[in-house]
Amino acid sequence: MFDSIARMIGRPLLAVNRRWNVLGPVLALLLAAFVAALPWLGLDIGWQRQIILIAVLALVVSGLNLSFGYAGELALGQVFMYAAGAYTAGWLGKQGVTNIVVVLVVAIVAALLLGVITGAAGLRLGGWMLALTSLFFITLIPRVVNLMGDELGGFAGMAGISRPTLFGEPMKNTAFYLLVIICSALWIAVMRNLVKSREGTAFLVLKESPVLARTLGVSVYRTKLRAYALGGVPAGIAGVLYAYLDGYVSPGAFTFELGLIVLAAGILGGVLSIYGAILGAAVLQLGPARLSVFDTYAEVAYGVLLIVGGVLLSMGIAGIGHRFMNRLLAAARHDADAAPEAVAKPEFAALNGKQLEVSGVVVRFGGFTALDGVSMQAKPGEITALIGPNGSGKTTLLNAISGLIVPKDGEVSLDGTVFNGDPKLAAGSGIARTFQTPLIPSTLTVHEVAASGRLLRGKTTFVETVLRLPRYRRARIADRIAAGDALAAVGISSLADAQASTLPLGTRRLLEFARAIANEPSVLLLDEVASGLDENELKELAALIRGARDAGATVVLVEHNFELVRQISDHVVVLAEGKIIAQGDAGTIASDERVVNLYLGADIMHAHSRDDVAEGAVAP
Amino acid sequence: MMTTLWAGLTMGAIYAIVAIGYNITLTLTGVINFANAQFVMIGAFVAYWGLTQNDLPLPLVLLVAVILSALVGILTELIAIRPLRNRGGHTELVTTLGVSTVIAGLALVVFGPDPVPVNVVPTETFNVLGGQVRLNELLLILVAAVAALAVHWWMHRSKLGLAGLARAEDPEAASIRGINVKGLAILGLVLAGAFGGLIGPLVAQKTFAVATLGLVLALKGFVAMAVGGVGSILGSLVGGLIVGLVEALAARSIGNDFGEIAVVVVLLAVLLLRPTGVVGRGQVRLV
Amino acid sequence: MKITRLLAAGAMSAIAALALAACSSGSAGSDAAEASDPFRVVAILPMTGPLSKQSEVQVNGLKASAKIVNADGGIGGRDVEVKVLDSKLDPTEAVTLLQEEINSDTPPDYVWAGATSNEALAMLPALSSAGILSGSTAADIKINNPELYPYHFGMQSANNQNYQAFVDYAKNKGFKKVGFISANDALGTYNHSAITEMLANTGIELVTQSYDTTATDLTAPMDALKAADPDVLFASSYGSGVGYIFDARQKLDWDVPVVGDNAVGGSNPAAIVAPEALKGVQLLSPLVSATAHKDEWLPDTQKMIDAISAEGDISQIVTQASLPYDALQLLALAAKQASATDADALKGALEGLKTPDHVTWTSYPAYGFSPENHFPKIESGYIVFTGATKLVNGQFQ
Repeated sequence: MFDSIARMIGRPLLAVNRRWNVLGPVLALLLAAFVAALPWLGLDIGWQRQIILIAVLALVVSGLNLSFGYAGELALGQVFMYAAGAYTAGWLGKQGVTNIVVVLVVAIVAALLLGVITGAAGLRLGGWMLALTSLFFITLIPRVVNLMGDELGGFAGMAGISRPTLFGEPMKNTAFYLLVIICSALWIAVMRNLVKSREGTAFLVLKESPVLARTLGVSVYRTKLRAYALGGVPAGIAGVLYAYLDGYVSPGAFTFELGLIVLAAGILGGVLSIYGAILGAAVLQLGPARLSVFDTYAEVAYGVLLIVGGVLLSMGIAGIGHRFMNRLLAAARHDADAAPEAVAKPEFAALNGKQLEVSGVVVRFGGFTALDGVSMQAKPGEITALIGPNGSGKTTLLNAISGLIVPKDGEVSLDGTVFNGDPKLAAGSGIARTFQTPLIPSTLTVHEVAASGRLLRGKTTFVETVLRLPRYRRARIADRIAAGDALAAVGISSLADAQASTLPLGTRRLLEFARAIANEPSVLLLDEVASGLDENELKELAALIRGARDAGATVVLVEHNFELVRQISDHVVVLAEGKIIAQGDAGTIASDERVVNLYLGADIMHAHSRDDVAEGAVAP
Repeated sequence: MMTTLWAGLTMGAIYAIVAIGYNITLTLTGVINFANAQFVMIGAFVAYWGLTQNDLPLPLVLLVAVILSALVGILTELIAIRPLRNRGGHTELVTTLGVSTVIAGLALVVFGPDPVPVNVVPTETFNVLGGQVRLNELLLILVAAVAALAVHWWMHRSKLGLAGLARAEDPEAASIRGINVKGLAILGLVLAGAFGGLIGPLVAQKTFAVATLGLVLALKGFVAMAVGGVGSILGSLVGGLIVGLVEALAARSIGNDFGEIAVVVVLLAVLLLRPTGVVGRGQVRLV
Repeated sequence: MKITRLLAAGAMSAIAALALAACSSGSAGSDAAEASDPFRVVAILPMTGPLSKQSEVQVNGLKASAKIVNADGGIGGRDVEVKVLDSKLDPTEAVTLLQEEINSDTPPDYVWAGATSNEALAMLPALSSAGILSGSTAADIKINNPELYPYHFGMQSANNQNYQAFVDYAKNKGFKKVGFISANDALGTYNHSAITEMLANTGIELVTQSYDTTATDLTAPMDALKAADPDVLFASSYGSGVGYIFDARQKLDWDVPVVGDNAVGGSNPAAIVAPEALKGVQLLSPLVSATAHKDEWLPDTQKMIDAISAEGDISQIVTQASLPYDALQLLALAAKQASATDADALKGALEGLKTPDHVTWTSYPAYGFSPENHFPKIESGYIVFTGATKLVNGQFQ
């Protein structure tokens, strides 16, 4: 039933999906224009007010979505910024500043500052602790306001805030309504442009795997801080609008309960969405307020709404919509094209390989020495294989090379540039890698994953990104071409629009490979890329690795499959208990007595011992 | 001064009791149950109904309180937590908040908004170590300490407790090793519920039974847990007592509303200097 | 691509055009009420949440008063209708409800605007610009601003007047030092400044303690106050806080005389703590809630009590019901004296109200509104001292 419907509407759906980048914003804009026009279509003042309240709440929720949904850190600091915006408008009004543009700019700056300060301190916590602490700190807002003295009106609140002015004229009801809609639409546009850019990709990568983010050159702490601080901007705007709505601000509006309402609206609407904030805000604004039929049971009914809403909509309304669309699309796509096309001989653009030098590297975890003075080289245009029993330190060595681990001693360098423990520098010098368990952010499309390999390349500023200025466009086109080429090289172009979470393991490995290649790497680190692949996939993979080598890259391969190593590697390094016990070409190694003994004594194939798992999870 | 010290310890014991509840659920069930402090409120109102209004014998009242809160705990798990298992995304914060709101709302409807008195033990006052302290206050301190030790001992010695700790460290591995994760989840709520319900009446003698009690204690319980260390039962006791003492002593010696400010300072200091808490070792996975 | 661009441009210009249009559009005029129309009273109160009981009693006061006024021919010949809306204690929600009423086909003639100053302050700008009369028990002096809020008449006297009774008492007793405790919320902070101001030039020393509204134990501030050894403790608190204060005092074995303000009295301490804890406690009580002063009551007081009791149990201090009751009585009288029921006529009449032969209001000997003052102006002797006894019908027995 589902499949037949999908097949029926499949093709047009795919076509719409492909053009969604343009159609989506246009639809949103038309919708905004429609909402803006409602007062002329006979919407009464009461409903205009409801829409304003929804928009104000949606702005705050949108800020939460940016930092929680996209960057993955739950802090309810948006309530602080909301309060800051409201009190900025009120205080400026008392000083005689009512020009709406000026007030908004000041409020945004104030919100950003507050965001940077509270974020710099709070984001070190993370997880439940951060969420709960931020909730606790919201309860202090009234106290802080009161400490500021009579200027802010104390507990009783600030009354009589005069209406904002535009071109010296006080804004009337309808003009104010329009202002709210325009501010909200503008923010949604900014948010959309931000999220649908490399910045947004960086957020999502970070959210799913800080380790992956670091190897792609994304600074975890700074990126989270950026998302959180930016999330304060809409909250600040919302605060200004709220203050002007009734001309009254009291600390009672910025409570713990508000924090929970914002969170509930975010989760109900879907934190991982641009427009979900509006849906969530509408549910929470209209739901409980219109529940007055329940009268004495209003609070109980509100609680029931939270439970039922939370359980049924744990992905958010928008999330459920996305999932449904994705299922439809996947079914349609399944019908439209076959499995990954086989690539006879992968073609890569020339890669500028660099000489990788590891000398005397020592890594210790507590009392355990994982690498004990390891020195090795990997040359451009060669495949260097790292082999050794489980727990011998192979992955640790890869982690040290990608800068995830700071060696206690020794150094890692690329063509003479030392980058001990600096993943950003490592990524910047062209080191790209894959992981034992592929790290593929499930919320991205296949194409976005491939393009995420290039996050560091051709840096674009925030303004360029949001306004889609030429430099951003150029960078994006370059990303698109490179990612497209990389996907074509590994033979999964047809899956470009698919959700990465839907891929089988073999295809995930190919995708990781494509992501690494997309950045035109100088050094390619491959961590057990063969495990879990069938024979055909193995053949394909071997061809890919050779292709990368032939294009000029320095390839380092960690592998258990000795057969594969023998076939493709130019140089083999054997590790045991953190030390190199032998190196040479594959033939020499195969006949090395120590190596044979070592391998005979251990189960060499596809077994993950505890140590190996721990190694994989080492990077903080 | 000693009187204030005793008062601080008493409040600390109440915060610790809430924090212990959080930690039981966090370890066994894997979520922070926002409605946890409402178990105490349920116990408080059961005591008001049984003791103040109807003059029922104390053991019967305690039994009713325990059974009722444990039942609410089971319902919470089945309705607000189980359906969200493995979905991630902190949605439990919203659903358990919903449970908390429902409980508070029902209390408001049934008992009204005004505080009502509860007397579990005689209102006798003693002079201990130079400070005035009531019998119910001494009992609260004692109960919190004994409960913390008992729960800690149970978690680290009994089969079920160890299974819970294993689950907290790695839920997947635990379920592979044949630990009944679903059963543990229910147990986490039943225990926390029964615990809160049992002690609620005693707490109410100190705080009165009032519909807003749960929310007030929920926040201070968080702070106690954060200061002591998330996931650590003994940490809950230490954290609770620290928060209670700091709050009371600062209010007494520095004056006015510095109690709250001092608590904030302590919380900030702990978070910045020792994010795993005074006692905790951060062994429970929090994400 | 081209078409979508065009669409986008179209949408943008539509928004711009609307923005321009909006700047020039004005607000609609209001229609005058017919004499046969009912006189619409809308009460926007926190009917749910912690103040629900209090709100219920206030509503009963309005309803009882409306029945009596209607039996006597209504306000200026118009039958009084009372409509109740739930603000949920949220100022923004209160304004939302108010806006809906103002913009409905049947706008209110009088609004009973909230139970707290926050709700009232949020609603007042809209009420003022719509020219609708209002009243409430909210007693923050910011509200008493006829210039900003010309149509609002506060019904509860502010504490800078009520506390005079305590100051007089302290002076008479020859007290040298007064202890004061209050919550650090809107009410407590305001009361703190009121008592500080009133004791400023009396030679009486003031020591104060405040506590957080979420506190569940007040041993520490009470211990600190005890250490300062005042001659009398003046307490301003409500809800559980009242219980914690008296509980701590008893535990500390502190026999200082205590005077509770009207908020303490309104919280009905006898229902929260045991009688032993209330030894030496007196309460500031309005005349109307002190049965001991029955002889000094205004003539209609018993009639008011009976009428409100018929609506429902007076579970709170009686002023919660008698003030809204008085509000409608005052309006009826003002309409008689102005021979009109429009807002401006009623406002003028209230500001210069002539005391009739038979006074129908019950809470104050006189309200004393004037063009400059829209809060009750009370005389000494209106606030009396009572013991902290049980409340029956909202009155201390």
